[in-house]
Amino acid sequence: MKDQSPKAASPLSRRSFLKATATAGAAGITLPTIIPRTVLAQAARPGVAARPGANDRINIGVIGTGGMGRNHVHADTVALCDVDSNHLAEAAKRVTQGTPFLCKDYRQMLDRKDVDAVMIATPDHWHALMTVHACQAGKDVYSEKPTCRTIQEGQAMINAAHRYGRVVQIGAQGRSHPAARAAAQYVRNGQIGRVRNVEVWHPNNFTGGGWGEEKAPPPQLDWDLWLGPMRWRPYNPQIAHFNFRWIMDSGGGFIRDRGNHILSIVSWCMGADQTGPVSVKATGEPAKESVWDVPVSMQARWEFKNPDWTLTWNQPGQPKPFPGSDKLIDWGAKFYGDRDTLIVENGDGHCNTEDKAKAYKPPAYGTHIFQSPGHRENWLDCIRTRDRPVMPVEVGHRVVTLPIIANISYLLGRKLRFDPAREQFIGDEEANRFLAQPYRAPWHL
Amino acid sequence: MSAANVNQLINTIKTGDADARYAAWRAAGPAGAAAVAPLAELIDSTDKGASRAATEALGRVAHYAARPSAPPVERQAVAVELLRVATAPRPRMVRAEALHLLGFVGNGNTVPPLARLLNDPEVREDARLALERIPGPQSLRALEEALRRAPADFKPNLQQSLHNRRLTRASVGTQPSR
Repeated sequence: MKDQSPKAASPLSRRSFLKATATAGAAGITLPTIIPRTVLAQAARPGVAARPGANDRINIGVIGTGGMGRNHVHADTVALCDVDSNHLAEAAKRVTQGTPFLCKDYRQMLDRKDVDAVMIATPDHWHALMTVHACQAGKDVYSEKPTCRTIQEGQAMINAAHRYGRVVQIGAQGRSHPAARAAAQYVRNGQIGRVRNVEVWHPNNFTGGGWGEEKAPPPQLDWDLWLGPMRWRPYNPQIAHFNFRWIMDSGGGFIRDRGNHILSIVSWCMGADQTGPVSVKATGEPAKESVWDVPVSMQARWEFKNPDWTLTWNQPGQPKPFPGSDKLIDWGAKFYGDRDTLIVENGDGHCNTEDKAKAYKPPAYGTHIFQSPGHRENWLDCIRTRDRPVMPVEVGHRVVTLPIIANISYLLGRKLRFDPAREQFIGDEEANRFLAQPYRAPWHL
Repeated sequence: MSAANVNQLINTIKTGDADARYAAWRAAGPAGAAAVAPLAELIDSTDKGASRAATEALGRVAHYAARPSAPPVERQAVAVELLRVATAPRPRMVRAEALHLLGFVGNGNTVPPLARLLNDPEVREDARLALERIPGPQSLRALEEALRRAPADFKPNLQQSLHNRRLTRASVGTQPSR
């Protein structure tokens, strides 16, 4: 049995590709390394991707260049966008091949025909809108985790990717890590038996922050553009930049931030990428004297049906020893099967798991999981082949649904029943009002 | 929650230490409609601890009143008090917070007074967001009606809400929106 093999992301036919390249050739254009891929795409059919050759250059723009975004800026990045001009200037120094186009409004980048694909590393409240707009502009997308803030945002991202035939990879890098793949193959081939419980643990949220000071934003920062679709609030240095994570609206706390990494691996191991839980209950304790409003400590429990299993999030959880060593793991997941257990550490780009899983080779008839060459590399490969990436937006949406509905349960202070097929809460009209978030004008999905 | 308990909640948030305030707002949900106005008053406090505690407590009151098992009269009473805050001459941030919560607690009965706030330049955007979130034909009609009379600079916002209200699960994200 073969599973998780990349699937076609768009209905591009060999005929339309040949037509596109023929059109370009007839126009006397020299193809390979200079012509942006989107030029070929537009020659083929508006909104449908063309297939670039193996040597074609893929011109990448990066939106959000501070923090995680810095890692996405390479020597040959062609465009950079940030609402903080200091971030932009720093990022530009990393580009050594050519002069990148610089802007603070991402729509200017999306309008450029010399940008084929974009990497989005902004705060969470921008991920969905930028992804939708990028798809509409014919760009392939790599968007950092978490995928989005609401169920409706995730649905919009999926619909846009499908309608405009784009490759959308979510930055849950564990999906490209050999140890995570080993764990997924080990669990899904029944090596620990039937799994009924999975425990995830993580340290507490940060407790610092204090009140900060609401004041005019610094001159290098366009605060209105930073807020974008979010409800307006005054600038406070304790919110922007890094600390957006500790605001429910823009970050959602560790469960939606780093939790996304390990929850992604749990979903992968449990074969739950196409479904979701039937209930969630979350409790937590926020900071007492702080502008940060996410819970510092948090416990969440999701129940799944067919097959029946439960997933718990313990923040903090007792650090667990890594089998065979004295090392204590700060955050990870433990799978409890009826024959054995398995530990996965972190679940992000620094993932690890036990040797027994890493040494395991599935039989020919077993479940074989695709090995990504690297998260960015897989994305670039898929842009060329139009295959489905290793962490497609559909799966990213399913994974982020877990912390999204946990945060709703925490905010409402009650257990919620959830229909994973309809992606709605059952019997709780108020909870369903959290499924979408009205956007501040002029932004809308 | 009795009047005495509501007073105790308010006094604790006003003067208590961090631990006492925290315990008070965490348990504030059942305080109900009687707590809305005094909590709104405290949101504007210069004491950031009191302001945060009052904001959190008001949210608890609203979400508790909108729980599935809540008697409709209880929910309606909280909505009415939130409307009073939203329409009163209070600081914009306080009114905006009340309107934000009305998006969760509000229903068809709440729509007409919310719709009138679409004419208030200070909070019309907050009222629009609340109406967009309240399901049902009344809020949709209110947005449509407002669009006919709205000044030119606010029409796009209302069109945006109407667009969002008509989205289906299959269509969201597929209409060119730039």
